[in-house]
Amino acid sequence: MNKLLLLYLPPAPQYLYAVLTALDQWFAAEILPHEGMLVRYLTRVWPNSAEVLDLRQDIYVRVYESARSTLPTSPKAFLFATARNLMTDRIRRSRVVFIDSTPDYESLNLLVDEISPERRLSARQELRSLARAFDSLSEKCRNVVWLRRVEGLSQRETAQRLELHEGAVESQLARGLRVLALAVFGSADGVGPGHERESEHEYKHE
Amino acid sequence: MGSVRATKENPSMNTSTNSAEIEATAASWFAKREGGDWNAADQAQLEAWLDSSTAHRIAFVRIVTAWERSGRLTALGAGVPEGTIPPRDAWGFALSSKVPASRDPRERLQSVAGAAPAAAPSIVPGVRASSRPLFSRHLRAVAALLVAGTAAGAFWYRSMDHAESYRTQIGALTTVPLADGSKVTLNTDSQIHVELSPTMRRVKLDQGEAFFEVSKDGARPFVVEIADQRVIAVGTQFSVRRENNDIRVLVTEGRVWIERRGAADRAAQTQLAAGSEARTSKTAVLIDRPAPAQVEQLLSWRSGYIIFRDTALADAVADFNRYSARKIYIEDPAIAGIRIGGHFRSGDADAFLWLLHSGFPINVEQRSDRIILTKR
Repeated sequence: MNKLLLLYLPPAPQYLYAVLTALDQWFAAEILPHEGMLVRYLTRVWPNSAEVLDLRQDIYVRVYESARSTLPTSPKAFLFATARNLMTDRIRRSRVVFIDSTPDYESLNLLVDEISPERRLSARQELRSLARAFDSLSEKCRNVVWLRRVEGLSQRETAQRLELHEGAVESQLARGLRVLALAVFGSADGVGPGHERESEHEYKHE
Repeated sequence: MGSVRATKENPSMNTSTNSAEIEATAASWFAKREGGDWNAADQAQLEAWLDSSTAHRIAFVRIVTAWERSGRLTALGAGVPEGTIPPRDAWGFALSSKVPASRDPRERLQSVAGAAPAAAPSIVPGVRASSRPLFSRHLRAVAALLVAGTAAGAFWYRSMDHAESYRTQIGALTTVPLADGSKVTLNTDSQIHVELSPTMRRVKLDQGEAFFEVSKDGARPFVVEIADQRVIAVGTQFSVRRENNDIRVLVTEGRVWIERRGAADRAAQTQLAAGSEARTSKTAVLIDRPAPAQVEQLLSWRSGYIIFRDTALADAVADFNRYSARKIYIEDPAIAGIRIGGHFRSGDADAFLWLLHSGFPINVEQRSDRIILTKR
């Protein structure tokens, strides 16, 4: 009989992950926590901050595709190496010659940990960051998020309570979630001027 | 210049300019899925969308994770009456420099009133300073009414939930259908408390043992709570047996997660697949894959039987004692290790005792309140 004594391992995904594959869960646990740092890094080295969100997506896709065959031993280092490679590729393939703003090749090669030490948000910091994002939502959106997420009302109940159509509740929840996602993954915090443009880019696009 | 590059012809760049749209689509999918009217066709469409591009999948993973982690927001609800949406910046830590959080309890009360859509908190700053005391007395009255109103609303919403307790006597065995289509089979001397809400199906196992056949509902996890541990399922079959604060979980179909709230607020989880059994004690989890015969043995109680296979007499007696108020005691350690086997009706200790008496050098002494086993 094979017995295996397991001490409790690092915090694992929650029940909602039941819809996600093992690889999805890996990605959520190992890659997404570095999002804040990645976005700050991209904002800093990439000349056009309007493209940061696209870059982030392409980097994520590359990391994910490559993890399909082999999981990197150091996910964080792999994430940033992928970021550097992707930016280099883009610069090479681009027909556009940078005139007034060349990418900062020096900082492309900076070691990740020199850019900014990884910050693991404490529970309280994370809550504060979430609360700030929550408070930044429009009145309607904020009410929907509160009733759905905090009070746990169903979509129908929320619609009745706020006198909205269910479809409106649904779309407000979707909108609110995207803002909360930024807070959760740390990209809403402490980002330079590029952040403003990035978030505009993200939210006004609906 | 940025815009020139952003609209460049490179196909990979072309698709990537949609990242904000992809994210919006992922969020919409998620909200729809959480919305309630989710069916198999929706699921198939979502899966097709997820499979059509890695970027889609990642955006969805990101939103699911964000929703999960945003659960921390519920901490903000502590102390807030149900049905009340607190005003901005009511959290005790200053969030923005523009609007300092109010420390004045009166303002907090007003702001609570402002939570109702009708009375926006932004009215308050517009009031002239001189008229304020009077105004705020009015507001307080309005606030009190509104709070009373929302409290009544909260009660109404509460009462839409189903909350029930079920209990079995010693020796009893019963199957309870739940309103969500799940079924719970309760073994002897067991008690559960069931709460079904729109977001969660919550069962407290106060004592004993239960087998759960959980109807599938991905939007509403099925959570069995045992002290500080939780067994979480979406749609599956498993049994949980509680001994003090330790549990034994056996999964026969699907999978479950076992989670313990540790000293830190971070929850620790263990995943358990079909055919596995977990036993927890203090901070450790022992995971085992019992043979099919063993699984049958572990679950035989559901049909009212106890199965022993090469079981020590002491263990067999302990098992029987769960089903009877009149307990069996072994007074002679020399016989405690005798190995026995067989199928018994869990309520029929007499057959068991008769077998012991006739098949082994064991003397059975029947007293009114107990049964004593000694070496013959």
